[in-house]
Amino acid sequence: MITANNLLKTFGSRNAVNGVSFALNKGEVVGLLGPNGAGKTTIMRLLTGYLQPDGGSITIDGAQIEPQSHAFKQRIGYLPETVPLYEDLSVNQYLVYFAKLYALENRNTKITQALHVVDLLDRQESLVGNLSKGMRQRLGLARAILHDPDILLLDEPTIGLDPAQVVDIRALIQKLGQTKTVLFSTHILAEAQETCDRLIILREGAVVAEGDVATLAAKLVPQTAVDVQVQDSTGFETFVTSRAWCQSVSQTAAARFVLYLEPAVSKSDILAEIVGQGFAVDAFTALENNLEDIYLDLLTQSS
Amino acid sequence: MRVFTIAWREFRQYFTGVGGYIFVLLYMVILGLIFISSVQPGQPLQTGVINSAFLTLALFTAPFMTMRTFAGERQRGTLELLQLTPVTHWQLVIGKWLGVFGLALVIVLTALWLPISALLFANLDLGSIYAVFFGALCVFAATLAIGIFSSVVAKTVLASVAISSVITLTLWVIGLAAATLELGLIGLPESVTTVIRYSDLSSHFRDSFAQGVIDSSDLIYFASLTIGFLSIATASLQRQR
Repeated sequence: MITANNLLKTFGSRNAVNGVSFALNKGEVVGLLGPNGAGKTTIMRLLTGYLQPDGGSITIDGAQIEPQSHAFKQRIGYLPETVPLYEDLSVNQYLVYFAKLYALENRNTKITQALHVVDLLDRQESLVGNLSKGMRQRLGLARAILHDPDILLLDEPTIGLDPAQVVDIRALIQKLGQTKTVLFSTHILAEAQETCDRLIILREGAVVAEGDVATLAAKLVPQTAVDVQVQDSTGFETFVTSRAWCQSVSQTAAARFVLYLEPAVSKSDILAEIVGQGFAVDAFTALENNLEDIYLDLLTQSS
Repeated sequence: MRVFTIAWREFRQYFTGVGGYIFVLLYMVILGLIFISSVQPGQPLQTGVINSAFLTLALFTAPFMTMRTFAGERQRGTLELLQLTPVTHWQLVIGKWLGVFGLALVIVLTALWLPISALLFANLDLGSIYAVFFGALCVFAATLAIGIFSSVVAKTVLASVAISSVITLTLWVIGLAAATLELGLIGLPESVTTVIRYSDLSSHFRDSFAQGVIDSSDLIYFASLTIGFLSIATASLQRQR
């Protein structure tokens, strides 16, 4: 659908984007993940055509299209991190203005459709300045999808929202992802894991990893650990640290421990050994690498 | 069509707040007071003071009329959105200029009541009056184009006012330099003095429109300033990518 080929962008002497390449396929939700200053917003702005790359190219459906062209702009919808609005206009006037700039036919129908998608139909006459943060975000989304683009670029769309609004916006992104290609940037790992089909992890303007969560996890050294809760912790730590299968132990609560194990040991044998030693076990859970581990590990590896 | 959408939005913005009304009121009060003081029963109308007032007001208010056009949009973040629509940079610049020129048109048309009311008790040369008002529109066209350019290159609205004021005041003050040259006080090559004299904005208004004369060389001067500054504003906007 849309492909970034070796994109470069420098501001002064700083390389904000340094040879970034990736492809977004039709109908997938892709997360652009990275710490602050990793180049997420700059990449978004390059993809929208707002910024001109110093090198590389952007293709849509295999064809290189001039980002300033009418055809390019019709296919891209963009929601900046801070939703820019005209506070003196009503919700309807705001969308009518952009509908006219996009020269949309059947303006009223398209505005109604966009407001329906973001669930703002009943606020058409409200002044933009009087909307809550969540509603502003929704209005920004309505504007981004107004011209029915097939590629949606959302820059930190849940930032600053309360938990209920975050859940709503994530659900909305997933709904939009059923019919559109969505690239959204975030630094919230759980959000990326929950919402995205695929992740692109950035560091200092370069892609350090790309793939779905399972693929990224496979790049890590497998971590074998178990979370154990015992009824009486007396002597438990001394016991486990004396065993050959235990690399280290970490106490997380009064009677709860995370045991880091040597690779390829049988967890059921370990459980049997603990119980055989007379410890009453309330819980015994195998731990897997989560997205946070993957993310931190990838960033550490790349640095 | 997109140009008019932007122009209408820009124009309406002045009157959804108080900004537009303040500008119109300011002109009405100042021009009205000057007009009343220059009317003497049984004497011909002294238009010189009005002409100067019109020119001075236009030069000083244009930076404030245009400061928000681009710098304000940039500060609000909406400039980025406008540039993502299929609107070209040229359409954006022309649209903004037309919108703010609409405000200037309202000011000039509103000020027309002054000479019209004077017709009740004096004989006026209407042709001269129309020339003055047409000249005022030409001054506005050029100074607003300068303001638009300043707003494009400025990061904040205050910086826009500063840049615009410096340029317009330079074009105004250059008249003093021109007068000095007339006296031959500074020995400069003829070509340089010609350029300086031609650059003087106030003389293009004072020596023609204000005298009831519409001269093509003055029209070319104001058109060149307008088109020139709108062109470099467009180029600057393009370069900011």
